[in-house]
Amino acid sequence: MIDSSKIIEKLEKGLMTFSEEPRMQSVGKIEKNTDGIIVVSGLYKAQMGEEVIFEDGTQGMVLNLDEDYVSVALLSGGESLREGATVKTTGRMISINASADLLGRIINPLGEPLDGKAKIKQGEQMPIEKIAAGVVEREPVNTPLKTGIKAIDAMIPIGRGQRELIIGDRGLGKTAIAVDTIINQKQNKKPVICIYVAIGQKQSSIAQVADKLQELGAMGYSIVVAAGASDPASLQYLAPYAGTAIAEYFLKKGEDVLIVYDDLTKHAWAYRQISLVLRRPAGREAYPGDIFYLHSRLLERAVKLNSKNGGGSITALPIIETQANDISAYIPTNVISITDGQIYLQSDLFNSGIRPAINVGNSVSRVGGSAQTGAMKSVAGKTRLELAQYAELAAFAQFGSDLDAATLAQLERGKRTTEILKQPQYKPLPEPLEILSIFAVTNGLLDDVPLEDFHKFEQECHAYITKNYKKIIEELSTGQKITEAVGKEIKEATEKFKKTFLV
Amino acid sequence: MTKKQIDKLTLASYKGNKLNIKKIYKITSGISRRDLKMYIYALKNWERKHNVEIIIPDEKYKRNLNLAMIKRIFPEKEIKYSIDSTLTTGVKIINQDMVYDFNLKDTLEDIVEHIRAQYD
Repeated sequence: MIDSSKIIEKLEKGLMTFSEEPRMQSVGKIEKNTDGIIVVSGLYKAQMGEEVIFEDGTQGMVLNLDEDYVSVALLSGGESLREGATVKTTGRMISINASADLLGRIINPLGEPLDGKAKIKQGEQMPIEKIAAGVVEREPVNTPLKTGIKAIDAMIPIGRGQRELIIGDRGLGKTAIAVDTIINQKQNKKPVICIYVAIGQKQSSIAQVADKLQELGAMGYSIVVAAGASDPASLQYLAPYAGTAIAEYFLKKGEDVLIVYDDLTKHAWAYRQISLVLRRPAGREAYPGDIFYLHSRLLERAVKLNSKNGGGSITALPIIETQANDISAYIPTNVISITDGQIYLQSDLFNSGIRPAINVGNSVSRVGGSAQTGAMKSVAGKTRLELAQYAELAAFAQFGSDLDAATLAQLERGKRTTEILKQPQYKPLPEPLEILSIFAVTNGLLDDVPLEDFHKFEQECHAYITKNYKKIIEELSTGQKITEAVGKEIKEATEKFKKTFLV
Repeated sequence: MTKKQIDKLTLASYKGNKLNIKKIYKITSGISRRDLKMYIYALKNWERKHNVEIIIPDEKYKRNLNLAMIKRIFPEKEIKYSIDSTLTTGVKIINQDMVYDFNLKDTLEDIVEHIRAQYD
């Protein structure tokens, strides 16, 4: 609501200052419009990345400064723009309005609401482009960011402030992992603020994700920044930076933020499109020369600040879509080299029913291990090795049937480990339950449970232990390394449940 | 034709500080359509560089202006006047791509824009 006395006050103030200083503006004229890139003459004082306003109110962003011309990317339709129309500089670098009001909202990269709800109140203007925090302000990754996905939390742990790439072909569950991670954050006492940036996606896909987050109660601490496939390439280009700018607003307040870029392949496409229209020299696969910098400067803004600087963090989960499992293509290799590890999803695994279809051999977390809790570390240490051995043995076992007992046992264990790591979508598990499952399988407690009953057994066992052995859950929740006594208790509880289950 | 050549033609089109119609006829009769476009653009640019436009609400307002001071601010530039009654009071000065608003209309526009931004 506008307070009328305030308006009058401002009008009076404006009139009083009327004769004091003139308003100075740099004004240019549209020379031509090529696919959303406007060539403007004049604007001699324009800066790179500056926001400009066209005659009809359309916003633009300065992307090229030439001797006589300035190239401006349109940030919305601009259908009514014609040659000769005026363009004004604003003196502002392109920025986004960030405030706590954004939580639960779906916005575009300019901060305009897309969910049909009320306008977002004026908060702080956060610059879309910003130099990442320096070495002095940072500290090593030391707090886990739990995804609720057993395979990830056990073998490819992610820490707060880490950049973990999710890579794989289309339809293998990359977004599912990201969405599950967002959903899982509600299990924290103070939920990590989640920002889902949709770049170049179908509006229906974006709506689906937003609906799911709403349905599962995750929207309260989440923000969706959407630049769909039908939005201008300039908006798609800005989307991940806008998401990061919002994340930095919360970071300043000492909060932990998780940001998902879904996906950076389409972001690279959008930037390629802009660069080609801007007539920048094309390089490999027609991408411009600064395509690496495009992603490195974005992901460098993921950070874990030290306590002197508020102690907040931004964890980035960029997503890259590969073609035919080729992770050695241009953009995938770029982003792999920038991030602190990758979760590689493989179509063969997906088709053989292993979901999430994580290829453990090619997936890695370079810094997350130090953030893993003692409890998880103590049970998951063996899992990765066992799975690698199983994969190797399974390949050889196909050639012959005469296998010794030890090999057969190892194969059986491998099958069970693979089975326990399967997990349905939208069902992230709290860490104590993840530990219970992994502990049970690595200690051979599930060796006599038939594979087809595995998931039923797991679910019921979790319910049984949560109900009857609260102490175990409490013990595991502390994150401390599992003591012999606790291990014994878990074994006892599992055996007890097994007796009732197998009867 | 290169940009430098066009620039030379532009300079050659002036006699003193005024455009020379004879020279212009001579130049334009011998150049291609594409070069003609560039030539016109260069002429416009030259004019912009060497002229300052002062917009006032009405003819009477000219008396209130401190012409000597304006000339001091923009030496070696020709000052041209035009009238725009919507300014209400005050003056607008256009020097190349820089626009100096010193009038009620733009101040009010500023205030409205500010209020809109604050109270969305």
